[in-house]
Amino acid sequence: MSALIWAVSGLLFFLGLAAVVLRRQLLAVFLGMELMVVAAALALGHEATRAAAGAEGFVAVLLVLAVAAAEAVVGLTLVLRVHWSGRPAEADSLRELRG
Amino acid sequence: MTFLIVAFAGASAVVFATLMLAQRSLYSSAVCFLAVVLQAGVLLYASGARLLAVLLLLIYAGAVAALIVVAIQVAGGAAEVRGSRWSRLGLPWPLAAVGLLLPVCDGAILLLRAGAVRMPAAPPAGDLALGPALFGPYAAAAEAVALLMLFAALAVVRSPEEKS
Repeated sequence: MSALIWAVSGLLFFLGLAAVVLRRQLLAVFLGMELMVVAAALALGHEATRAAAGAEGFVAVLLVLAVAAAEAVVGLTLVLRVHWSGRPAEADSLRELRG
Repeated sequence: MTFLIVAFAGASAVVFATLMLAQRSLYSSAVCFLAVVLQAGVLLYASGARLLAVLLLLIYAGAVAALIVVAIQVAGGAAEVRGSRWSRLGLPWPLAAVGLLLPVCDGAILLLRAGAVRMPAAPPAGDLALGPALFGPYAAAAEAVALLMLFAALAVVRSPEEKS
């Protein structure tokens, strides 16, 4: 069962990476990033249950999920700010920094 | 039986992740993402990480998925592919319903099979050790992450200059 969950995690991570690389809409890219985080959390959580003792794995997954939630807020805010600025929310429209 | 459920949940997660990549509509991609998260929760539960499965569902299927849908609605036509709205989901409705119902079904089978509907005598050791670890050696990390979430929440505030 462990190999199966590792394979699923790897495939999910790969598909998330493909979404980040291939999709042009910022929200779709964001969904791909979140999929990669879920894949990593799945692999970490599964390994945490197999660890002999301690809760380090559980704590790591919990912190990863919390940081990913904060990252989701910041990422979605950036997408909305791009939209409010009048530019299309696509990766091609963001080519340079200002300031 | 558990192996079969894990295999089924893993296969469906990969299928819906592929659909998420292939869909043009952002709403459809969000629904597929939600299906993948639900299946990941089932996989974590089957692995024995019950608390993590619940937290994953709370954070991702609850908060993040709702934020994504709100962002898609606020961004409106600029972010959404023209002509594909929630009412005309690019993903066929039966497939979307299957994607949301499948995790519920295999999660229910897992729960019934494990007898977890009744109150367990004691939670797993990992779940028990999580609280003391968060308030003990990892208290500083937990506080730092809490501060990070607070600052992230402040990022959404628009100043009056930005509004005008």
